[in-house]
Amino acid sequence: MQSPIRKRYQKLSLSLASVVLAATAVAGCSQPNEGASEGEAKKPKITVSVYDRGNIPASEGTLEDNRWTRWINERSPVEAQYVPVLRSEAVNKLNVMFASGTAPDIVNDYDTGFRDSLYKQKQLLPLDDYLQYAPEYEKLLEEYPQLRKVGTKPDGKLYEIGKINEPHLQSVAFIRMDWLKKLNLEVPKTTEELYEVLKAFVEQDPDGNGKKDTYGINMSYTSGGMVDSMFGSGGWKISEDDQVVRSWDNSLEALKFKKRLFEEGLVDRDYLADQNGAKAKQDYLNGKMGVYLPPAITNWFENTVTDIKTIRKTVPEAEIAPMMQPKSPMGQFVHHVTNPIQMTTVINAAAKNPQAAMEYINFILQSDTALTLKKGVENEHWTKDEDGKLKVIDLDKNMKEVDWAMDYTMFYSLPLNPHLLFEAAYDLSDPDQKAGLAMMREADSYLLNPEAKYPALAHYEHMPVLPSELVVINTNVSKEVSDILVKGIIGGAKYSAEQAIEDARAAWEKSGGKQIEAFMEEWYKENKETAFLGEDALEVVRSQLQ
Amino acid sequence: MLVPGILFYALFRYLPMGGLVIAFKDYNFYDGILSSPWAGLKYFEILFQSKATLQIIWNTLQLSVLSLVFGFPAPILIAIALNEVRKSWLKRWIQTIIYLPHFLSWVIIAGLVLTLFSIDGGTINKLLAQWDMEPIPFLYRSDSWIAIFVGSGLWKEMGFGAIIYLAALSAIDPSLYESAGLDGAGKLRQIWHITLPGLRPTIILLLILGMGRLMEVGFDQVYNLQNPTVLEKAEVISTYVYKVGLQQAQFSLTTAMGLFESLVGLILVLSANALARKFDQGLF
Amino acid sequence: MRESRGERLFSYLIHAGLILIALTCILPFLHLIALSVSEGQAVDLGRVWLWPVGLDFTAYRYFFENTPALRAFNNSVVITLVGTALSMLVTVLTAYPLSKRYLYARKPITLAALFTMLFSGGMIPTYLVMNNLQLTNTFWSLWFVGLVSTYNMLIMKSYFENIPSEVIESAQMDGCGEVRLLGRIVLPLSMPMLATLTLFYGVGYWNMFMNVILYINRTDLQNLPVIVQSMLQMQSMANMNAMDMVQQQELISEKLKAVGVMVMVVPMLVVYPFLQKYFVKGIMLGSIKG
Repeated sequence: MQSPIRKRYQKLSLSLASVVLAATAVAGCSQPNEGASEGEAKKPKITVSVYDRGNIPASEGTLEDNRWTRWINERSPVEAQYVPVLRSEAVNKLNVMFASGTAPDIVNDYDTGFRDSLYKQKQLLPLDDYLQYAPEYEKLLEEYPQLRKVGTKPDGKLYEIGKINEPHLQSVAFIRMDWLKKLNLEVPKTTEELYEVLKAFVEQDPDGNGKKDTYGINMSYTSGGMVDSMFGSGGWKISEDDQVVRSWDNSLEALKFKKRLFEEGLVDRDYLADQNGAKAKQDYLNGKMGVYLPPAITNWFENTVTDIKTIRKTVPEAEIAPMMQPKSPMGQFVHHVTNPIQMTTVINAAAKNPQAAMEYINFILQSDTALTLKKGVENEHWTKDEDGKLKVIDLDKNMKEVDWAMDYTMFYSLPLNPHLLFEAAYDLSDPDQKAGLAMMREADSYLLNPEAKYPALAHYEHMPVLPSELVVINTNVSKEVSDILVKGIIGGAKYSAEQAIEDARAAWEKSGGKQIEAFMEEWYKENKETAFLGEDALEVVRSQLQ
Repeated sequence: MLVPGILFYALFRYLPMGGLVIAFKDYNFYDGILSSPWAGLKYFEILFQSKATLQIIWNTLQLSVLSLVFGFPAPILIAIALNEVRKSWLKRWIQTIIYLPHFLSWVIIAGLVLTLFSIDGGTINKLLAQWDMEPIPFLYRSDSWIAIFVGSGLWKEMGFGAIIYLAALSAIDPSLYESAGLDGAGKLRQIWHITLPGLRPTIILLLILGMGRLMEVGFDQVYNLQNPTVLEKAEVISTYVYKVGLQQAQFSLTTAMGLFESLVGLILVLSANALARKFDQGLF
Repeated sequence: MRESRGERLFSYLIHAGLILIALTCILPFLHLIALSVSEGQAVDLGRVWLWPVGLDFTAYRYFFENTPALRAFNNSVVITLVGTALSMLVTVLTAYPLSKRYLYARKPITLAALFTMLFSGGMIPTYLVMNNLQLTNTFWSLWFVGLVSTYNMLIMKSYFENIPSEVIESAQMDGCGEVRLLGRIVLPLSMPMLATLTLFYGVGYWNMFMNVILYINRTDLQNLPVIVQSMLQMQSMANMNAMDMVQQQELISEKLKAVGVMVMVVPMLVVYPFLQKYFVKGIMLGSIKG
């Protein structure tokens, strides 16, 4: 009964069996092999979490073992073993590690809610007794006491370590100056003027191609939040009598404006489906957008130099400039700032050697360490020119050998080292880059406008974390409200903005919004002094800029 | 012979099931699963008291029943159709091509959907504009959104889903077709009297198993196709749990919701099986 | 046998319909292929549709040289091959006895298995078990956690049950023991179903993502979906000195994502035709006559 199929089947099972055997051998041999630094066995050992962004070239090794981990371990007073966590699943992975008691000693993560949940579950170590082992950080705390303020938890102890960020707006509007010139218009200073300019952009064919294919502005993804900022519509605000209240009036004005933009075709009518802002950016890069609101600016060089270059490939005569947020009927606001005081690091309560952990942190915070980890070794990756400015020798080499290592210095305050500032990236001998730097400075100057207020109660990373009973309510009610507001924008003439706000308020109250309001009032009363609010953030940023 | 299987189920399926008690406790890392304080039905109360929860459960059922009604027959039809293709090279090519979409992630498919259906630049609306018709907001109306949702799911899975039916079809005795043809039966009659009955056990089996997954409207599909306008109908259990639970370390809450889903799945499977037994095709 | 006009029409309709569907399925892939080899700028500006705009393979070079993709690819292959073999083995060993009507505990065991398809302990409890068994950080955790898919197992069991009893009985009369029966008769007759389930398991292991994230810590053991996912999430790096930021932007863009998707999908394309060979018609027939 040896049919051909049976023969094939026999061959198949035989080959499968051999594969199993072979792979078992391979898999079995992959035992942890990190005993690289044998002679240094006297150094205390700690484990540190580091983000895995999947971008380390195979030739460089792995996140656990590469030139930089070796470099660090040669010089540091402690031996650090790195535990990679995938950036997009960091919270899940770390949760599972804490649940099983296998979490690393030092945990680095940007998610405020996550770190707070660790605190609530008593997984974090209070740091006060160990600060002495990290004099670099102590120094920083004295210079920037807000770091302590923000890192302290409701029980009054310090739990979180963080960094200072460069003072910048989270995002700024970019406007086509050449279009303005062509249509004989001025840079808009108020929202009404903005409306007129946008209308002109859409109807008067500024790109001169005879087609009505230009957009005024974008609202997709988080860019809509920038329009909200113009009206101070951040959800919560502080009232005249120093209480935390909902910002319904601001929301109404913002909604009315957005509705006009939508109904008159001044924004892409599909903005809601543009889930990550990619289409809006494409429209901008293709030279079809009059005023572009980037969802967030993480790299000023990109927005002020690279993007411009791209646009000029299609539209050589394009002239772009940043634009200050226009004044609205609710007042003059700035947009959100990048979190000036950003918490990043906590220590596992189960860490066996907290002193060693702090010593490690101290080592990384040292200026030379940080600089090397960010830019490479002097004379190997960079040199200093006559003006003392740092110049990278070979950009490709750095991309291959250095740039992926950015997360080892996740808690280092970049502004402490002038070579690591955004501005150091600009080569002033190139006129386009010089112009780009000027744009960044221009955007910064908007922060210094004394009239401008912060558009919300606080930066979202500093908003109070809700207790679990309120989390569900908040999620639900926020969703309901935002759904209604969206309908208000796209619902046409029948559904007025005023009606939408009324319905939103009703939904808010019906679904438990009042409980959240009560919590916020309570929280504000108790934490007024210690909380890091929007105005505080603005203050820090302003002082940094001057 | 059963030993490895039983070991597997015991160790890796039943042992972790002990963790389901999390749904009844205020679970936290400090106390661990065993010592966390009991919370009784607290989390179930939180879930069901919220008005939104009922709507969400309804949405989940609605989307998943529709997906089943349209999505279940599609692979069967594809398999039967493929069976009629005479030239085997063509058959192979088509088979391979239509099973491709299964491998695309929903992130990509959502992008495609946008390209096709968006108001301003969407392919379909552009065509409508050429014929002087008003653009239709496909993605922003609940009814059309649901249709797109079900349709895209169908498109993605029908090729892959057809595979198992193709396998089953090859077990049907070709001589049955020959003799039927000689007796003068046309194509359609042949399909009705031979092919379908031949597939019956497979169809019923997959239907019963599919019942168990009824509550599981895939997270990725909904999350990527959702937009704020349709959330009233497009928020399902998995996306809701993601937004509330996982992002805020609400383990007990998410476990409770999962437990509820499983319970519903169990009831559905048992009912479907009882029904199938009447036709002598029960799974057990 | 002359085909009636109606039948011919029917045939045309079927062919046309299938070809149409196949077209809709292949267009997205043509688009992805085009994206992956087009010039970066054209991609960023959204100008690429079904045909590449300019030819530029740097994204592929970058993918294999500047990321751990190659190593991840190899890991994926090992995980998939071994995992599929193990899974098929244990699934057969589980489904076969359960298909025998005379087995004592048949119904309860089947029910117990079905139960696990509906109820699961969840992420944390399963991790705890795996951790306590010291299996984390090895491929074994991946192979064990997905060892038997109850769905697949039930399909297999059902198929075994539907093998005509005459075949089994005649073999038993010839003095065949259970194991021989399984190996020499039942399995060869089940090739289409086995091929299908092999494909299902294979695809499952190839695309395994969440389990790898949870159970594997070492980056040198990561598989392809993990690496590709990182790319899909990657934003422009904070490398501020790059004069050639334009070039860098190209890489960290839609283009690279398209490359990632292609690399994941192409092996699946290659494997399927092989398995299609097992979908031979009349396989049952041959056994009865023989």
